[in-house]
Amino acid sequence: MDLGLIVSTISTITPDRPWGIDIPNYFWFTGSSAAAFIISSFAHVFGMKEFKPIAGFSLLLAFVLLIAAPLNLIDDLRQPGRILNFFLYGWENFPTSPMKWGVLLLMAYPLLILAEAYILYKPYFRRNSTQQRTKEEIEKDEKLGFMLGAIGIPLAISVHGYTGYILGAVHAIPLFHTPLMPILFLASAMVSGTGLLIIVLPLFQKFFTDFKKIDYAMIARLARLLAWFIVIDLVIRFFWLTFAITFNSAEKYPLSLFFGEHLMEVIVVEYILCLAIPMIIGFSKNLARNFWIVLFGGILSAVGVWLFRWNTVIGGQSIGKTTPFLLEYHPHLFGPDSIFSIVANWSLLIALIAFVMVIFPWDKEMAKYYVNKKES
Amino acid sequence: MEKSRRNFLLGTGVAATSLSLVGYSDTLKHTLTLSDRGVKAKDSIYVNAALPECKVVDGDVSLSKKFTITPSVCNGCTTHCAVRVKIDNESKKVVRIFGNPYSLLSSDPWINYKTPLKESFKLLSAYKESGLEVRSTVCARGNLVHEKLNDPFRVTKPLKRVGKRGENKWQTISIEQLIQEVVNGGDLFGEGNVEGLKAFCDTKTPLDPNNPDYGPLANKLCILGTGDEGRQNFIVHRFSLGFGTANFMGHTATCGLSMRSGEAAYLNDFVKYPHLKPDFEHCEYLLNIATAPAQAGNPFKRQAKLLAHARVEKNLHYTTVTPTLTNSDAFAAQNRSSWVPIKPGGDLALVMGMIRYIIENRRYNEEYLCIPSEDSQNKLNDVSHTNASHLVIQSGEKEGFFLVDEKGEALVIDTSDNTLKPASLVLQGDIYFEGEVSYLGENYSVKSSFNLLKENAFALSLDEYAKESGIAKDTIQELAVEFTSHGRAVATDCHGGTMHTTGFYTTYAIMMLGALVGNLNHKGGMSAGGGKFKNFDGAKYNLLAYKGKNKPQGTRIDRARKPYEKSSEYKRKVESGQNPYPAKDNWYPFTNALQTEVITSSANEYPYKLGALISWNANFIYAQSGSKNLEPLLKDPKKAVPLFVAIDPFINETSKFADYIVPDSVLFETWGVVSPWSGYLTKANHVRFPILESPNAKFANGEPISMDSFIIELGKALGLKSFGENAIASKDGQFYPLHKPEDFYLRAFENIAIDGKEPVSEISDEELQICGLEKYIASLQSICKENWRRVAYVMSRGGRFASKQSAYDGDKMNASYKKAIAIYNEKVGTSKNALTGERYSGTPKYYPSRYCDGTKIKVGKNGYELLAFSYKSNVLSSATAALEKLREIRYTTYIDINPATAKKYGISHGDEVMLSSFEQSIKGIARFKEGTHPLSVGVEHGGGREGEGAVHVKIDGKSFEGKIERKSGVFLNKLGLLDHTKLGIATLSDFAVGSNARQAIPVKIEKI
Amino acid sequence: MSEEKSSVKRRDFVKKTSALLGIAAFSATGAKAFSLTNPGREKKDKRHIGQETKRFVMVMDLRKCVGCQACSAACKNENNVPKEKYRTYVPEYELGVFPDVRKAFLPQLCNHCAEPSCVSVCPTGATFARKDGVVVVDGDICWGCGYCINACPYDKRYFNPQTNVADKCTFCAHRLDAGLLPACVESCVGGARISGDINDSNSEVSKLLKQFPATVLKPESGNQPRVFYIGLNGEIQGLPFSLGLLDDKVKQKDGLTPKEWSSKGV
Ligand SMILES: Nc1nc2c(c(=O)[nH]1)N[C@H]1C(S)=C(S)[C@@H](COP(=O)(O)OP(=O)(O)OC[C@H]3O[C@@H](n4cnc5c(=O)[nH]c(N)nc54)[C@H](O)[C@@H]3O)O[C@H]1N2
Ligand SMILES: Nc1nc2c(c(=O)[nH]1)N[C@H]1C(S)=C(S)[C@@H](COP(=O)(O)OP(=O)(O)OC[C@H]3O[C@@H](n4cnc5c(=O)[nH]c(N)nc54)[C@H](O)[C@@H]3O)O[C@H]1N2
Ligand code: SF4
Ligand code: SF4
Ligand code: SF4
Ligand code: SF4
Ligand code: SF4
Ligand SMILES: [Mo]
Repeated sequence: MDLGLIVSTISTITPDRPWGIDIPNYFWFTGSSAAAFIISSFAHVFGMKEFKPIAGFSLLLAFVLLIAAPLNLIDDLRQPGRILNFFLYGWENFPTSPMKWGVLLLMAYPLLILAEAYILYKPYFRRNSTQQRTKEEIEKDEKLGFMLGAIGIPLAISVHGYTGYILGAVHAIPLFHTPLMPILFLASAMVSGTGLLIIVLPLFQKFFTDFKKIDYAMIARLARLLAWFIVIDLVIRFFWLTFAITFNSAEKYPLSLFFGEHLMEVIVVEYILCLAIPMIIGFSKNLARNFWIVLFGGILSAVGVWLFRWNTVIGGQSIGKTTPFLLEYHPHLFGPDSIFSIVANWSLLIALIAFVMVIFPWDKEMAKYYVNKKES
Repeated sequence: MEKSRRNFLLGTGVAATSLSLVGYSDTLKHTLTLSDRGVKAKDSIYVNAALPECKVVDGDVSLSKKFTITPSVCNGCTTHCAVRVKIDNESKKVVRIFGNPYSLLSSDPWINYKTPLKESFKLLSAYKESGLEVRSTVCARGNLVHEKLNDPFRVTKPLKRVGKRGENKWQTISIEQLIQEVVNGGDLFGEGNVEGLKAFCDTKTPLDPNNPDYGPLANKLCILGTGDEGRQNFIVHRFSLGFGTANFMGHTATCGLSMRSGEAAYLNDFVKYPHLKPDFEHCEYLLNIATAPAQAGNPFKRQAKLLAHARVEKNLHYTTVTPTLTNSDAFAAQNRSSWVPIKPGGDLALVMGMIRYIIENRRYNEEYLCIPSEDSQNKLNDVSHTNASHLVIQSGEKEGFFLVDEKGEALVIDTSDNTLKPASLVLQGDIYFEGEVSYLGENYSVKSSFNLLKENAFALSLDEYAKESGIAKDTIQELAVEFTSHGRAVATDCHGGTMHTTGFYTTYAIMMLGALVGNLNHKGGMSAGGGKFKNFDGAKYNLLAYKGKNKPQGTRIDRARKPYEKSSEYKRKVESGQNPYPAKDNWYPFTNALQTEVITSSANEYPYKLGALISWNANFIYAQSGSKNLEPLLKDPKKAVPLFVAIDPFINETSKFADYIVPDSVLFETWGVVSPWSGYLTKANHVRFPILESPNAKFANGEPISMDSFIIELGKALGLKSFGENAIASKDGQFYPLHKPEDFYLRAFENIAIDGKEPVSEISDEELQICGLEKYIASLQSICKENWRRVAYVMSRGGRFASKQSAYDGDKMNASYKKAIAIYNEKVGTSKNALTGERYSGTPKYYPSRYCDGTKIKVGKNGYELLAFSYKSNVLSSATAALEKLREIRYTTYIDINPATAKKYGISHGDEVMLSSFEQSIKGIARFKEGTHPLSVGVEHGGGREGEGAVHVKIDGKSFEGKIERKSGVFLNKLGLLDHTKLGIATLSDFAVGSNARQAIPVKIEKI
Repeated sequence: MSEEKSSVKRRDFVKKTSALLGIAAFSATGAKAFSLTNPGREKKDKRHIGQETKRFVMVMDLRKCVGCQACSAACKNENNVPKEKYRTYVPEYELGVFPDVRKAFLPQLCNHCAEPSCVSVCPTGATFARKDGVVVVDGDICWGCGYCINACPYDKRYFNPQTNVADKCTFCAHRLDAGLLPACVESCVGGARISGDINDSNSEVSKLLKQFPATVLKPESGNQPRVFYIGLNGEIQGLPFSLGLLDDKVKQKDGLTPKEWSSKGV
């Protein structure tokens, strides 16, 4: 690279960075939640019948992911005890602080999912009661469900899109600063969300339903869906990177420095391993039929998106703004914003899944599609 | 779902929840209790900022009652700037250090001496923005230096070693035990009998009956100091000379002796060792060779400030000649600054080349050089004069001496009538004369000083000088032309970079450039300093004199100040018909003191072995190139130093080998009187008094132990006349006691206060209170009597300072150097190297780098292709490198290398490398630095500490772990060379004056 | 200055919009606690308001900077800046290739931007610009989200490990408010740091800016920094490119545990 006049740094300092491992994890969680929500809406908003069996399950997944997600944020705060300040002060900055938008979204979205789930599972909660639901009642619920779903989709998009906004608005960090960031986040969220479903759905179908059968067709369908999401994701990333690195802008040089340093890692891990392979699996009829291969693809893509979040959040911050070198992040093992925080967050997710799956009669609802089918 | 599966899920949920709670425990605790993490700042907006010392509203000053702001002196480096210290009245802790705006070392322009204190705060404030102009600064070190006060490694009680020397194991002892043991000796360490100081507190008995010229037994005591921070006169005149030893030395031999002696030769004064600095402010062209103003230098801040100011607001252009690009340069200064990279040691050839070119092309100031005397200078209304026209005898017994009349006045050839006359009667002497003259009936073959210089300059061709210096011929010419194109407002400066084997002549040559244009005492030229108000020897007292004071007698342990030819050894050899040369080791007839020779000489017992060594804040093991080799000599009490007492508040690289450590004060805890070193044009004195209470152990009279109080009590125990009752005499014949340091220093302050026609004003009660002087009123009144308010006035301003307006009289500096500049130095020209009997050249001359006996130092052989040098850090200094806060700003030091050179040796930026000299190897991290001469490797000085908290220490069984922040980095002196042509283990030095050769060390570099 | 006006307008607009949105969203919360800004500003605390008629700026006359770091040290001491955090620092560079090399220094501190991105992203209103342009953080309000730290294009903010809130140069507001000069200015050995009120056309800063071409760091950031540079080399104005800093690498070699974020070295 021709750097013009050679600059050698004799002395400077290492600047500070605020966001640690909690933040990529947070983004992964909200993203996957949004994706799960959208997939659940395929059936009752877009009327894609083939996704109906997993709509409820997916909705619950969206819910637990989103309940667990904000803990990452809180844990990342240096002063979590001042959480009220966020609600009380600083409204002047509402238009310019995407973080502020999060308050509204993070409160509204789970409530909405809960309402939707309640409506969906209402009949099953009432199983034991003798009362039969009237047709009107059912229609009313379906309409309500449709409406909540319809509101939910933009909300889901926002709840994750705003996180992309948080980053995209940071013009100080070249890796963050692109208007594509919200949709890039959404696209990759769809990938991780689908990947997660591919992992969790068979697990629950096999072990925690009465019918104990994995819907292999559904898995293959999800694999195909995943492949398409990857295509969209790749297209957006293509635009992002080609614009950022090819054409001259203030951001080109720091990004070249960054990608120059991380090229192999990014291409091999993020693109080939975590995106290209699952995509090939999804599009190849033969591979998509093999459950284990699909599962493998699902895991790859979920992990890949996590790494993408990591590379974006950590990588973006690793670029000096006035210092001419990259930083390295050494996460703490314990304490706030540490590796153990991530363990805690995933534990929380597992706990929430366990509880929610126990509380909600999702298996009964799901059985409707399989047991009936089989018997008929 | 089956019940068991349900339970499984519930079980998993509970387990995962608990894990999560553990992981989030701290976060949840704060979130749920809405409690804060950490501690709240003192102020929600101002955070933890200090409270302001005053408030200035519309020009009205109200001073805060929470603080006292008292003047003192910084000892973060040898500049010893005047500062003001903000002390919290409650905690008695230092809150901040500011510059003292009355002093030229911290402000320029500095405020008028008569400015009321309150007004000074206004002038420093934002009010009318006057603070921007008079801002009174302290440098990075000065801002943080007070961390020293509370250093966990600080020694506050006397320590005695347990175990072997250098093991760094200590026990605390009482002051009484300390004095008792040091005085009387005994089997102090279970290693056999050790003689106490009493054993040689004797100025009558000869030290060595075979060599009576060695002087009395008292010379077996040697005292080492460092730079003078205001107390050196006290220890030298009251203790060393009270005791009767000739052996006191400061740190000049490791600091800048090459420069000091070269300038002393040029100024023809080897007693006072005056020296020169540029008049930065009015200089038009400045040539910095082997020094780097703004990177370091003394006075560091003052010259940095003036340089920055003059290159922007005045007419200054300057060139810096160093192997490394330093902070003298700045891109933004554009063409005002330039850098000529030079290989270490290349300067002498460069400058001799310039001199040759200037003489050859008659670019010198002939009229000026022809002025032969002060009388003629005054008649011609010039500013200085030289001995260029004085005649040097070329043969016979008087070879090398000037031709003088019976009164000792030089005789010169008057150009108006070509006759020989005393210089004072001649306006213009012939500087080109060479031939026979007859005087009082005797014929002499003589040459003018100027011709001798010319001969030496013409010894090599310009091409040869270019080759030897590594500087292109064109560049040499350009520098010579530039230097001679600005009239007399040009200057040269040199210092640390001349610390190599030919540094003395390098300096002499660099200064000689100035003589060729006549810049001494000229506005914009060179100044020998602005002088000072009379301090120790003043109108009321001569504090340095007392009944029973000894003159230094005999031969110094470093064989300085004395020619070999006056020794009994020489006489014996001559008498027995032996060739007196070589002597056992070299002698240094025109050198003042050589700290670097002490350990070696004592180990060699040449001239004699020491009985005891007292070091006072001296750290030659860190300071001296090649000192690693001295450690074994120090470790074994039998080898060089039977008793080693270190007076130091820290256990440094040197004091860790001591038998006893006597805690000294840190920073602002003691008294002192110090004047700026040089680089200023108007009178200035700084005073220092204890503004903080020392945490040190106390004597029975309540005085905390420090160098001063220790030597008073030690002196009394030894029965010295310089302390105790009647030790101080006033000029009107009264006697006063010296029991406490204040008895001495307050009187020095009084001399300062009343010096001159107009004594200083009397202080008001309000001002006494403002700067916290109330606690001194009792002492002031009892010691200074009717003058007490004047003395307090001096204290309140941190000294006494003449106004900036008093600097010049037209183009002439008011503080002028009077003696003739030595184009030829008679003392040098008539002295001989004791190893070879070779006469030294009396004018600057090119010598390639060499050992003491003239053997060339080989570069390039066996892979030693590069020349290592060190340079002063812009941030660190040796006295502050252990400040951890400062190390946040400069964490470590590297081995700097030019990338092109590095490539040649397969070294990349950040590689660990091994650097080896003929003697030793060190490891370090290579750092690419474009601004490094390709034939050199550079190391920023200050890293790689092994004292002052960098290494493990055990005191009373308690361990103190060394801090890596203090230790990190490269320490180049470990590589220093030995001079095997000298006796025993001698570190390499300048062949003529003995200054420590720390630059231009042949090395090889390898990647590890 | 017209841009000053337009920014006021913009802020006005922002204020009004957010007022509406805020009120709509939170009319339910207790009106007492709820604030568009923060309690200190509402109360017109003078530490929050500053000196209303003034606009503090700084001019760095690089021709006079000697890279001595007195400023860095003075700031650390005056403001009790925690270990390994810096409100100001002076990177040292070398420009060019041997033998055509020059030294360059770049004293940096918070730019007290006219359009501070740290302020606009702050979700609690903890950080804000006083009326005299000094950008400060209210340490009682900040919840430590770090958004401002990432939003500052100049790396001029850090988390104070003692107080656990965002921290940065205050322009020594505590001294300005007492009629004094900032600590780094007082201690500037070369006289390169010149601070003052740009609304006063006779001030030193106004005069310098009228007389000499001056520029700011990363002008493309849109932040409109209010720290101006005279004699700035373009190559170091934005993000300079050079070999890495080795200090953190050496620290690791020395056996110190790496900081959470450290420089990569080479
Ligand atoms: N910041 C700071 N200031 C200080 C001090 C400090 O430690 N730090 N110490 C104080 C003290 S004690 C002193 S004595 C002065 C010294 O002040 P200076 O003399 O200015 O400092 P040095 O670094 O000893 O030497 C000056 C320069 O000589 C160059 N040099 C080395 N070898 C050679 C050579 O062979 N030829 C030439 N031409 N140049 C060479 C180096 O590049 C170095 O930059 O500074 C005082 N001021
Ligand atoms: N390689 C290399 N070597 C060098 C140099 C270089 O540039 N490069 N520079 C040389 C120069 S110019 C010099 S002047 C010498 C300096 O070397 P020295 O004259 O030996 O002095 P320092 O190391 O500055 O300080 C001596 C000791 O004083 C003590 N001390 C520190 N602070 C205080 C205090 O507040 N009060 C008291 N009472 N004592 C204190 C500490 O123990 C410290 O070690 O080093 C020389 N050595
Ligand atoms: S130049 Fe030296 S004496 Fe002056 S403030 Fe700095 S460290 Fe202290
Ligand atoms: S420099 Fe950074 S912290 Fe300072 S006002 Fe501008 S954006 Fe904010
Ligand atoms: S860290 Fe504090 S000041 Fe910064 S954006 Fe968050 S709440 Fe605002
Ligand atoms: S203005 Fe004050 S807070 Fe800001 S950098 Fe300077 S000293 Fe530090
Ligand atoms: S104190 Fe002034 S001259 Fe020194 S580095 Fe800072 S800005 Fe530059
Ligand atoms: Mo020195």
